[in-house]
Amino acid sequence: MSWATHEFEPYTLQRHLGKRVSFLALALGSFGPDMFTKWYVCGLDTGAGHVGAANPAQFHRGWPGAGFTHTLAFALVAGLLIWAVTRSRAWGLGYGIGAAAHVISDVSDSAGTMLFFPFSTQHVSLGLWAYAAEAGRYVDAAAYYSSLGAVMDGAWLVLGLLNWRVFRADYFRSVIAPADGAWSWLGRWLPEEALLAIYRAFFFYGAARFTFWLLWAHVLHQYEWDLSLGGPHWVEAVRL
Amino acid sequence: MALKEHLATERDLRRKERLLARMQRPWWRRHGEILRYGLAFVAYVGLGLLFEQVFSSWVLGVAFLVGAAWGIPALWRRLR
Repeated sequence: MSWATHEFEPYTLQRHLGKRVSFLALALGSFGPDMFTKWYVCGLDTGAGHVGAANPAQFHRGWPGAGFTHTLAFALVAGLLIWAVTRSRAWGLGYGIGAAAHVISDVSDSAGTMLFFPFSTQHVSLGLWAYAAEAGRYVDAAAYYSSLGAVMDGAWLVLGLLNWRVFRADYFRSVIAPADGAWSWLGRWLPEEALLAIYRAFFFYGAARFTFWLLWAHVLHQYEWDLSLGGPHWVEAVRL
Repeated sequence: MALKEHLATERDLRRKERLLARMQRPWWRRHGEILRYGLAFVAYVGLGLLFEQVFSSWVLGVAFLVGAAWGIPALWRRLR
């Protein structure tokens, strides 16, 4: 599980792919695999009780479960479907690449992803940090931000900041907006200042999330850092 | 002077005028955009520390930034 990486990826990917892809599609693709399932994985406390998956890791990444959303086949099929429906290559390619980037990033934790589904349900995992969704949202966040996961988020954040030119208004005007008609459609109701805020918002959210959880885990609470492979070892890592 | 060169000089002059006008503004107006985003960032992280649920949804994060970086300043300008 990555906490802020998926928010940073679209900016770096778009910088390399230029006008060939839609930024909005890249961003949606990057959130796509988790979009409809993450709330159920983390669980929700309602007045009537707790709603959530009995086995969060199996539901999130496994098969049977919603793990098919974390596969390269899903990225390919969803990308082609979006291309066919929107008749926009930039949207199809953007969504497919964004979703594939998400799937590949998630290989880094102990649960991994079924990269070669439907041909194989074998999970591919680098095991760099512990997947700890079973322990609940807060312990999972604390574990992630005490492990190499925090380093991964930090590296993507730095990469984004090194590419700071992508956040400039002239970059938005010359590269982002021309690649995607959705911006001119949005521009009928919203001024450029608002479009720029929407464009920058995913990075803003990722950076704020990264800062918040680091402060929460290591200033408000004193969770122990463990930057060893597969850490932190104070939480049970889920393997599928 | 060829028309092309004339237009280029005109463009250059206008750009210099804009730059000069910008330099004469106070620093908080010159760097207003960075300031707005910076304040929004601090406010958002601060709110998150007070109410942890704030960080539960990226829709909320996107809505917060759009509101803080554009909505509130636009409303303020209109009210003034």
